[in-house]
Amino acid sequence: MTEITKITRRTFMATSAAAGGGIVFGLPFPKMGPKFAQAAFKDLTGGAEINAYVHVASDNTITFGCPATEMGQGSGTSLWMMFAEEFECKWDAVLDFPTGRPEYVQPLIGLQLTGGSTATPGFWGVLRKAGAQARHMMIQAAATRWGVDASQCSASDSMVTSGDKKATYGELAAAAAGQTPPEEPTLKTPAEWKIIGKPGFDRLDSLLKVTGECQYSSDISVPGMVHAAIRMVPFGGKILSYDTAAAKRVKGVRDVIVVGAEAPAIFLDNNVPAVIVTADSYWQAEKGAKAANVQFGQPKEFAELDSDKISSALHAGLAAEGSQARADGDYPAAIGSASDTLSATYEVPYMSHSPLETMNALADFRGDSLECWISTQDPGAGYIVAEMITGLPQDQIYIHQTYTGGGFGRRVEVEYLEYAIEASMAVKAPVKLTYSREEDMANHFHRPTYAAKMTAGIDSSGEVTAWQHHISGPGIWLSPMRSSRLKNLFAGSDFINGQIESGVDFHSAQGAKDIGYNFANIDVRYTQVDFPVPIVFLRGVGNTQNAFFIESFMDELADHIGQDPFELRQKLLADEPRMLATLELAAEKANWGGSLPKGHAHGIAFHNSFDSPWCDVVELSVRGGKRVNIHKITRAVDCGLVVNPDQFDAQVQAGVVWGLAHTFLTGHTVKAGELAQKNFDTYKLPRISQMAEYEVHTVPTKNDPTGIGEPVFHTMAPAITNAIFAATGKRIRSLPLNRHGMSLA
Amino acid sequence: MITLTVNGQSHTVDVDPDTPLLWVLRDTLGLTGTKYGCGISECGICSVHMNGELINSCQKSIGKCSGADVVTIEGLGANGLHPIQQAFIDENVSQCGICIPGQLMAAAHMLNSNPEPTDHEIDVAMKNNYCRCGAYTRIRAAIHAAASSA
Ligand code: FES
Ligand code: FES
Repeated sequence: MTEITKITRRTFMATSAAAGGGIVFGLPFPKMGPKFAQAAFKDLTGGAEINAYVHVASDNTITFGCPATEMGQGSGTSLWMMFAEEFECKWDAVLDFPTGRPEYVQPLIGLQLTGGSTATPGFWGVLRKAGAQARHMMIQAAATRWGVDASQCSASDSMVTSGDKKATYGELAAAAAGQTPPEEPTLKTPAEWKIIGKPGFDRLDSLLKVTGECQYSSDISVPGMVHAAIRMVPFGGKILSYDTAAAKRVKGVRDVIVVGAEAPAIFLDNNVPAVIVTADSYWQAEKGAKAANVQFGQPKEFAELDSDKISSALHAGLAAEGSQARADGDYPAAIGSASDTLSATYEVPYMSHSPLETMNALADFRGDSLECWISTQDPGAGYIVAEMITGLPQDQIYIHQTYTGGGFGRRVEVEYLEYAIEASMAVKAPVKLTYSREEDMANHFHRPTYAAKMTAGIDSSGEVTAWQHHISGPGIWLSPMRSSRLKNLFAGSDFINGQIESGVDFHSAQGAKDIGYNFANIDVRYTQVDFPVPIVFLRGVGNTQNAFFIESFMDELADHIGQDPFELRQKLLADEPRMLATLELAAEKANWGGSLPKGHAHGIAFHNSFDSPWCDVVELSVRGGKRVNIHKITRAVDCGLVVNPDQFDAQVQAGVVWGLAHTFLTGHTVKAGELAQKNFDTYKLPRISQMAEYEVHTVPTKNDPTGIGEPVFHTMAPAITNAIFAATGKRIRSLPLNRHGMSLA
Repeated sequence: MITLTVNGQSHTVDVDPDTPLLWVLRDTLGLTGTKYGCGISECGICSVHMNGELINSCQKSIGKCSGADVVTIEGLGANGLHPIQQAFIDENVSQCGICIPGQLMAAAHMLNSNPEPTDHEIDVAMKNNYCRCGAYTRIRAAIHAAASSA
């Protein structure tokens, strides 16, 4: 650990102690919000900032400063619905994604970060209140102008009226900005809502996205900018050699620099070493990187690592005792006295997020200031790492968060920004670094690989009395191979200390520890097994593996004891009304137990995550034991109030495609120390012809919104494999199905 | 020096002849609506029209584009929005949006020769275009909507 980390960590811990903690997933996180409040709408001139979320121009154009990333999930529009509902404005707004103000810190995380399905629940109260405050400020400005009492004024459609007097928000903006809003304005009741929960509010970014005008950080250019390509070492390795002269013989190539291994004072124990080649165009930079012929070396045990060895190590982990994550009742006694037991072992591979915009960042270091542009989920971490690398105070740094070409958890990390800043400091010019797909896919963070052993004990009356779920694999928080500055920032927090003490990685056990099924004796344990493949959160995180393990085993268990898989779950969820209602809704809508066309079979899977119980019923048939034809997916969820019905459906649709990808296609194998799949020729995604028909149903509720983006796909895999069992009698205990010779018709 | 027409405008570019058209569009001409996703003809997000054909611009060296007539997303709706662009807006297709220009170029190309495509014809015409966000149901709906509006 170098001096820089120590100092920063100490400063950070002091700051966080003073600032109190945020909460993530019910766990205390240190608060890491910005140390300096940036101007909210840096690029807008004229008009006025009413508060950190809204700017009104004199021509009435409204700009929404969206505190969450727009990476496709529709937060730009959904969060605007909350604000606009109270602001009483015209619907149309320009979306902006400003950074670096405390108002943009995700209340459920403590950092300006979008992830964990927190955008809607976290800003639900905040944005409605801020919208109401902004409306009050407009009304107060009008009341003052007209010399009337505020109670005699009302606002709607971006206009304040009082009797026959009228003024637009644009006319009032400058005066409104100086008003003091009420601390706790009264919010509308659900019956008064005109926007929240209503259909017909189109995405605000559609026009930009269909004309090609939408700018992602990969599209930004600044004067004097050079392009950069990168070659990162395969995991656990180091750079052995590279040919600067050969690279520089490529026309347009300017500099060849090393980051990581040879720059330890700045690159801490965080990023893998890499060679960066800068040039006048990206193509020249890539050609230069090829010509540089970078040679890497890995320690022998890494260089010889392959999928078989990984699998053996995971299974050895299951034979160990592991660390206890949950203990209900007396599992050892219950399993010891069971009249019958069932056990099965499952496995899932490394999986890459593969957003279609590869990782990239533009950094312009000017000695005493730094300006960056990034497609990211995590501008909050961007400020922190930028400060650590440059030593500049945060008020000399600005991070432009652009539209983001897919995140899925990958862009919670910001190592692409770190590399770009480093390169800009080295070559003294603005640098736009773009990962090739190969670098993006093969050399960075993945969903970890896991195995699980599931065991159940059944008593003489056929009741399942004992349940054990043992997971082995890397831990996103505990394993060294999620080595990133972001992770290091959490060191010393209660959240991390608790995991170290228990030996249970929060996300490895996520969805296993907190199952809703009511077994009398439950034992959940985790064995940490490390491999040198970098890992990070992927949409749904721990639930992606654990829902597959649990729901596959539930199906085996039902079959073993001769019960209907739906009815077994129904019985075990009897005390969980939201979960039970979701399960029953899906079964009812899918006509579970009803007659199906010849050769068709149903599979069911249920899981509760991000406080949103979800159930999928899949109807499919299998041709020749190999070709799986999915006829219908019936989905049910209780995600609380649906703020934006259109984007809710878009996420459900996305979940189907992600579910198909996860089940059939997206798994990495490891060969000779590297991920074998480096691009889409070998790491395939579903295509439009493979899209399955789905319908979705929501449990009627008055509860506040809960998560949608994260829980959308992890019930798909077990629902599909359970249906395959029903159709063929073949049990699938590992993913993806292409490794079993099965494909999506 | 290579001269080609892009969106009706003639451009003469001085770049290495092996440079893919994709990077000439993006880095030399500043037309960043055409995206990079794989560089190996698998994802379709770099799709453009060249002499009336649908091509992956990551696969076409600029040296082979002399005299070519190229249309990119920026030129698709030369006179206002193309019906397929309007349909993508109406159906709220876009999620992250990064694949959308390529989807639109592929869909517009199909609609040119097949104004009333069936689901199967859509599957065939759109098979080279990945959407990682997974907007396939709506892409299909938007293509049908554009077909019936034309
Ligand atoms: S970038 Fe051209 S097909 Fe993927
Ligand atoms: S909208 Fe994101 S990849 Fe298609």
